[in-house]
Amino acid sequence: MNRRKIINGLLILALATGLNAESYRVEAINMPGDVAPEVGDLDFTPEGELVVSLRRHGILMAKPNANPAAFDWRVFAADSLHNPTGLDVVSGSEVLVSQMQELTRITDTDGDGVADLYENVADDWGVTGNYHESIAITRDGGDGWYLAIGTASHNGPTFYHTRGEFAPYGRTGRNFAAGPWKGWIVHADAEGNITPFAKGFRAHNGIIRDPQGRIWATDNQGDWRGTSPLYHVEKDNFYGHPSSLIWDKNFTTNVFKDPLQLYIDDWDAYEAHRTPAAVEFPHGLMSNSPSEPIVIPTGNAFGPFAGQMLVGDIAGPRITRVMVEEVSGVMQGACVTLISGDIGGGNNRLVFSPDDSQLYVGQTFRGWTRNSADGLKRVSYTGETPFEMQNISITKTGFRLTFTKPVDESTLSRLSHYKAQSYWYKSHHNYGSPQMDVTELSVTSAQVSADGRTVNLTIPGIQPKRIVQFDLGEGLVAADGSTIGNPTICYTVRKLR
Amino acid sequence: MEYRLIPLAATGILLAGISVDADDAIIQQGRQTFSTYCAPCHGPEGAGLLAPNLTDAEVLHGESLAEITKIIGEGVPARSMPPWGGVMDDATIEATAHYVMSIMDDNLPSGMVATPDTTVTPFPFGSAEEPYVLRTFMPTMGVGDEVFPHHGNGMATPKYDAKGGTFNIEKMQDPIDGVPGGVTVNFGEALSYCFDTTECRLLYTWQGGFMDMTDYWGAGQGGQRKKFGYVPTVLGNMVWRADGPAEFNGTPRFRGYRKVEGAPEFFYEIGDYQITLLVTPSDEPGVAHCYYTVTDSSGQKRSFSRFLHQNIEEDSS
Ligand code: HEC
Repeated sequence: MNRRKIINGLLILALATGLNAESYRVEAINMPGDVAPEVGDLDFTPEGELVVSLRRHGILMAKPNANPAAFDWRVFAADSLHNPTGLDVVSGSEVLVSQMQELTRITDTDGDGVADLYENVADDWGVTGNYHESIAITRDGGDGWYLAIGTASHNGPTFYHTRGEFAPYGRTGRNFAAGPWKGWIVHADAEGNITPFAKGFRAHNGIIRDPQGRIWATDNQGDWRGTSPLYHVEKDNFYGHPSSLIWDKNFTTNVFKDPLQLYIDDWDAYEAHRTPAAVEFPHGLMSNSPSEPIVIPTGNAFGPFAGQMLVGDIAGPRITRVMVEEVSGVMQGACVTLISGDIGGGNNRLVFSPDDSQLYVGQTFRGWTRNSADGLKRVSYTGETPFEMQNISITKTGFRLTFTKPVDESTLSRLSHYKAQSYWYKSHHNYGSPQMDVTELSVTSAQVSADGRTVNLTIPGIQPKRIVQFDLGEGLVAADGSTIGNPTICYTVRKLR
Repeated sequence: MEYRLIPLAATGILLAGISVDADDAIIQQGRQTFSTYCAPCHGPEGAGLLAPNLTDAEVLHGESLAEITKIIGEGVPARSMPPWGGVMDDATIEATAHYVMSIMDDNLPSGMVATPDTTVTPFPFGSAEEPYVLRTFMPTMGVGDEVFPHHGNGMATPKYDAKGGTFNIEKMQDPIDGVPGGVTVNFGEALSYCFDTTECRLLYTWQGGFMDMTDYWGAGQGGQRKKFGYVPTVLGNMVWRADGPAEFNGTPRFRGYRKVEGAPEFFYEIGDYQITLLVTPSDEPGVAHCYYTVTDSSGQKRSFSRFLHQNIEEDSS
C-alpha cells in the first residue's frame, strides 16, 4: 500500500467529520481546566445530573447543558480515588464506586453538596500492586453488584506485600491472576459478601446487566483472546483465560495445581472446557479494545436500533453496534461500526441521557498514552435515519439481512452486492491470533421481501465456530439514493439453526 | 515510492553545497523535510497544530538525538504519529531530528487546536484548611516486614517473555517495594502521612513537600509513567515510621472514613475492638497528633491522644 495514502488518510481522519455525520453529531464536552479528564465511569443521577469519576480527581457532577462548553461542574467527591472505573449512582448525594482495592459508598451526609463519608462496602479480593487490575461493576437487579475484576499485566510488577494471598502459579503468564478473584466476575451482596460467579476473564473492562437480566462482559484481545470478545456471562462458566483458574480450588485440587501450564500443554482439553464468545470483534476491523457495552433504549430517540448494544473502543476512534439472537440455546450475533472518526479514541464508558437521545462517552487511555484520548464526548441523534444494515439473523440456509431503509428490488437481489467470507481466531497462550482458514463464501440466491427492506441470502457451507464477514457492495444504494454507511458486518456463528 | 526519496536527498546535497556550516546545512535540510512532511500535523513552526508542540518543555518520547531519530523512524502509530522509516532514508531522518532539536527550546506558544487549557500537574497538594486525600499505591519507606503480617507474600516468579510467549526460569522477576491499600493525606508543608487500610495502621509521616505522582500518573496529563514502578515518590523529610507488632491483636477490618473539618477520621475493627483514628497536624511542624477512640466488646469506650515525634534519623529518602 502507498504510504502517502495512509498519511493523507490520517489527516483526513483528523479533519473530516464522520461518515454518519448527518445522523449522529459528536460534540466535545468541556471539563474544568484543573482536572485531567481521564474518565473512569459515567452515570446519571435520578435528578438528571451527569456523574463522572476521574482517575485522579474523584467525582464531578453537572446538569447537562445544550452548550457543550457550558456545563456547570461541581465537585462531589474531592478525594483522589484509586482507578475508580465503576459507578453506581443512587442519588445526587450517594454514589457507589469501585476502586482497585474497594467498593466504596460515598455520601454527602450534611447536604453541602460535597461528600464527607467514604464507607468500605466490599473489599474481599486481592491487590498485587500491578497497575492493570481495574474493576468494572453493574447492579445485580437487586441490592447487590457484579464486579468484573481484571488480571494484572506482565508489563508491571507485583509488590512484596500484597493485599490478599499471593499465588505463585497465578503469577506466570502474560496477563496473570496472582491475587484472589483476578480474572473473575464475582457477586457482592449489600453486606459486601463476595461469592464467585464466573471465571476465565482477562481484561473485562465492561460489564452490564441488560433489561432481560442477562449479564454481558467484553474482554480484550491478547493472550487467550485471539480477538476481542463479548461474552454472555452465565454462572460458573469458564470463559477461556486459564490464569483465573488458580482461584478455583476445585480445579487446582482435582484437575491440576497449575492451570495455565495444563492448558498451554493440552489445547483440546482447554477448548472443551471454555465457553466461547457470543460475538467476536475482528481485531483492527471492528474493535481493538472494547469497553463497556450499553443497551440502546426502546423508542427511536437514538435511531432505528433500539434494544441492540453499543460498545466503545479504547484503542480506536469508534463505537460499535452489536446485535444478538438466541440460536439453538446459545446467544450469538454480529457487530458493525456505528460511529467513527471524530469521536476519537479512548472510548471507555457509555451512558444515555435521561431522555435517551444522547450518548455520553467517557474517554481515557488511563494515562498510558497522551492526553488527547481523554475527555468527555456527546453523540446526538439528529433524526436523520442512517442507511445501515439494521439487523441480521442466521437462517437454515444462510442469513437474513434487514436494512433501515427500503431498497429497489433489482438492487437488493443482486448477488454481486454480497461478498462473504469466513474465518476464525485461535484462543491460545500467544498474543492475539491471525485469521485462520479464511474461506470465500458464495451467495447463491437473494430473496427480497415485499417492503424492500429484507433480503434472505442463501449461503452454502456455513460452519459453526466461524465468523462470517459480509462486505456490502458500493452499489447497494437505498431507494432514496443514500449509500450504505458501514458496509462491513461480522457475524459470530457458534451454532447453526 | 522511490521518486520521492530522490528529490529529498537532492535537496540535502543542494543545501549542503551553498552552506558554510555543515551543521547548519543539515538543519536546513531538516527544515525543508519538516515543512513538507511534518508541518501539516506539528504546524509550520513546530509549535503544534493537530499534533503536539515540539518546541515546549513537555517532551513525551525523549530529548536526545537518538531518541528523536528513533521516534521519527518508528512513529507512534497508535497515536497517529506515522513511522517515517519506510519513507525517508536514514540521513534524511537524522537531518530532520537535528532540525527538531534546534527548535526544541524555542518555547513557542502552542498552536494546538482543540486542546483545552489545563493546569493539571503530577504534584497534588492540600492545606491545613483543605487536606488532600489520595488513594494510591505507596512506597513502604523502610517500614519493616513485621508491620505487614496481614499481607500476602509476593514472590519472585519466572520472567515472562512476550515475544516467545514463554517463561524463563533462569531469569526470575522480583516483586517491588510498595503498599497496595494506602490512604495518603497532605495538610500542606506541615504534615503528610500514609495510613494502611490492610493492616489498619498508620505507616509513616513526613513534612516538607508531598508527592511526585509522575511515575504513576505520568507527566502533565499523561505519558512518562514508569514501567515496573507505578509508585509515587515521597517529597520532603521523613519524620516517623511504624515499627514492631501492632498494638491490638486480631484481624483488621477497614470500614471507611468520615471527614472531620476536611480531615479523614478512619473507622475500623481489629479483632473485637472498634477503633477510630483522626490524624491532624499539631502545633509543632511535622509532628502528627493522633486522636484514637477504642470500644471493646463490652461496649466500653475510651479515647486517647498521641503525638508522633521524629523517630527517624536524618534521612530524606
Ligand atoms: C499525521 C500527523 C503527524 C505527522 C504528519 C507527523 N507527526 Fe510527529 N507526532 C504526531 C503525533 C500525534 C505525535 C504525538 C505522539 C504521542 O502522543 O505519543 C507526534 C510526536 C512526534 C514527536 C515526539 C514529540 C515528543 O514530545 O516526544 C516528534 C519528535 C515528532 N512527532 C516529529 C515528527 C516529524 C519530524 C515529522 C515529519 C517527518 C512528524 N512528526 C510528522 C503526529 C504527526
